[in-house]
Amino acid sequence: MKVWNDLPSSKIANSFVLANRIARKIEETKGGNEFLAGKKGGLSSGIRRDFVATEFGNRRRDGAKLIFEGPPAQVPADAPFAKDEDGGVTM
Amino acid sequence: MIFRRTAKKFDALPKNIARAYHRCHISKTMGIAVVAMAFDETLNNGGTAIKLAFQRAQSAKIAQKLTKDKKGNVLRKKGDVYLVDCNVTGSGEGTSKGPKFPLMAFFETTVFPEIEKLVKKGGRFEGYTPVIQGDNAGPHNDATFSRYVTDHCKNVGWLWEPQGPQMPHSSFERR
Repeated sequence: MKVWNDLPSSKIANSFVLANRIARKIEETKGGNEFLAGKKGGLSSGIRRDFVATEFGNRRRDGAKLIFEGPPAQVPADAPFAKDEDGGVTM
Repeated sequence: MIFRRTAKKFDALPKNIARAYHRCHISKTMGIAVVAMAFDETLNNGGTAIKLAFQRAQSAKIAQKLTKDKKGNVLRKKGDVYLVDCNVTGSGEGTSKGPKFPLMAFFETTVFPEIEKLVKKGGRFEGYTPVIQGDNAGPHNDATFSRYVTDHCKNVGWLWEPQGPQMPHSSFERR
């Protein structure tokens, strides 16, 4: 319990971002693991370079606000969410 | 607590060295940690991390006889209920002599209510869509457990997106 209580929230937040960036690397190599090799290879993804720790998580060092680019979330058609006029899901 | 020599260890834990005739004489202790991260648009914006739950995999057992320690002190009497470390299963609760720790009950009584508290009306993260990502270990593939969680998530409008097995690095990027 001591480990759990002492674990900073920023570590958890950083791990989420890291998992996401590693998934991107795998995607870029089309499922391969070549990204682990080479001079700049490895699991490191510059998380501490890009993020600063806050009391409850992390935030970008440069303060930028990125917009999600990709397919919309596949929310079940009968999900109890409000839908906007275009049929998109309001979150 | 005894660590495997090659295991990564958190510095705050003291390291004890003990001798055992066989590894089966070392009782196994498992724990389940559930964490979440609330973010807008993409994880690359950063966000708020939440510690949802931390639970030792234990179940209750009823003492079949009086048990004493080496000094003669009574540890438990016959009929006493005590907690024992046990294996994690999907939905099976085991037997009274060999209890198990079913994930289904853990999700039903702890994980889902904790998430509900956060995203319900007036909650800290009202309006967010929870995406639940299990690690797809063996117990997650239990048919009863799998059916229960997918049905629950579908009913409340959450997303159940388990990782590929042995792929802790896979993740999601939407809320």
